[in-house]
Amino acid sequence: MWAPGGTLLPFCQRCTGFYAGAAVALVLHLGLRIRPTARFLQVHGGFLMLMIPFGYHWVPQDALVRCLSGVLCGTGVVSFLWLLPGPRICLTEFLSRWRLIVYTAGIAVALAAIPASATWGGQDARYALVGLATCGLGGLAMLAAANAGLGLTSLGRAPGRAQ
Amino acid sequence: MASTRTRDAMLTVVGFAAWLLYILGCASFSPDDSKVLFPSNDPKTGGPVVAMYDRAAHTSRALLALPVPDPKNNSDAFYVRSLWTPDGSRVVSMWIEGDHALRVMVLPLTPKEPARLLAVADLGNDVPSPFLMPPPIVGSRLFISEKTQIRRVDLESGAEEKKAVDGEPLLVGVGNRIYYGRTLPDEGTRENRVEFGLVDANTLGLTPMFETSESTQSDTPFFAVSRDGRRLGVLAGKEHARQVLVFETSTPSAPPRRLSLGTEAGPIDAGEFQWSRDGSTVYCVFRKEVSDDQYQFGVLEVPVDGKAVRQIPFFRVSGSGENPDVFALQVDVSHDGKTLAAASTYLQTPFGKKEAQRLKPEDLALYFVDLSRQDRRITKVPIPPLPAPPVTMARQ
Repeated sequence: MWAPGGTLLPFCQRCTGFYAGAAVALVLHLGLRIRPTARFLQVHGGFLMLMIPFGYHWVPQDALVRCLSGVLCGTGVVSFLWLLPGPRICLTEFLSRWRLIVYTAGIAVALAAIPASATWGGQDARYALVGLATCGLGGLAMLAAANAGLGLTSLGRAPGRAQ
Repeated sequence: MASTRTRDAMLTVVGFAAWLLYILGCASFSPDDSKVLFPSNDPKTGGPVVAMYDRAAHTSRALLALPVPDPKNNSDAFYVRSLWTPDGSRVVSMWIEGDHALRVMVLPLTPKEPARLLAVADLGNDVPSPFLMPPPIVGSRLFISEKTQIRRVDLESGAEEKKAVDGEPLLVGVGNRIYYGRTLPDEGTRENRVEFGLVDANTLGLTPMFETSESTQSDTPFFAVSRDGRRLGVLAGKEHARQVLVFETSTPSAPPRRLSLGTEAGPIDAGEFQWSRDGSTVYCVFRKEVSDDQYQFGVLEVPVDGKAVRQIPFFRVSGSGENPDVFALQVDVSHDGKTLAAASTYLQTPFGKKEAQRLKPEDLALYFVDLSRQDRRITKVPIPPLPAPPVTMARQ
């Protein structure tokens, strides 16, 4: 675990990346009103697959790799959980070139800033990381709840139930 | 439109599954601090027992009972070192059988797997370090240091890999990292050189981090690494004047901080030590002579910032001409950093030995220190006493 400012983070290195990355991805999805394309989903599906060799420690890895794999996996999970509730939260649009550039830049900044602030940051960085990761956890929980609500609603509207 | 919605619903399920798999996979890599392993006694046979204390249920149970050691082969106490695998699913117990074999028992805590008994042979005259410093376990592989090599043992198959390493290496595991310390040959006026670095768990290759001549010991000193890997503490100094040297691994060339373990109350012997969760404090076993044959055992709380050393006394042991070994008391700090545990089992009079009782029966216990409380409250969990020594009946 990282200890910016001499105090341990409440999340392990991968979880710090995962939840902080999820928070960044959620903000980007909301701000850019992303409607994912098939290519976008393929790339993020690849991010999810990263967790198989890295999450289960099939390959040797250090703190940086653990964190980066967490950031990418968190980004992937948000993209997939965003699919159903996203268009209902905001009017989404397919990724234009500039949106894609902003989105990629945002994820790149997260990939650099999260491990850097955890490694070299002080107490302020610790508070920022804890806040970001907590927001990511809360955001994922809300996405999960929204998906569950949509699922229950669609079940209620199913033809078999209506009859 | 309907097909897109179906696709999105399916991908959402994939997202959920990925998150769930992530949570399950991550949690499995850190034991949850709910249970503590400790050495105990078999009250029926007097043999050594590996016991597990459940902190929530406040109960303990014997996991593994070994036969009474043959006094011909074991003149002193019979040590069993027990560790958890990183996922907390198995207990790994080790003990020496005969002169040259290390037995490793892998005990699963789920009924899905069988228990495995492995034999690590050809130890030669090397005294393996498992009883002085806990050997690292990474994944399902155990790493043992010997005088001239590092050995990796697969806990599932028993397969071994060896790598020749000079300088009596000692190993310390921190998460998935394995640190080593070893002596280097003298170079000109530079004597007592000790090198610290990392061991690659796959290749057993060494990556040196730094070397020092500060420890003033001719053999590899005991060391411990903080959980974030930023600090490496080395036990240094002469007997009764022990110090912990603290190196910052990011600036290894800087002179180490010297934390003196002695207090104004008198000289102190130090044993095993562990870092606090945040790397700000060292917890070190101490033994202090309080009278001619009386020794106080406990734990020192040594802040790295140079504040006053705090003594947490556990119990007293009578020496009766033989110094009780300070390394017979070993400590561990819980992963949440709130509790310290130690067991006094190896300071009792060994079964069958005819000598005055060294440890009071009421002090034979598993000790918990609540590090989150200012008063460092100590809780004792009694350990079953050894049975009375067998009486030899003369035939009449």
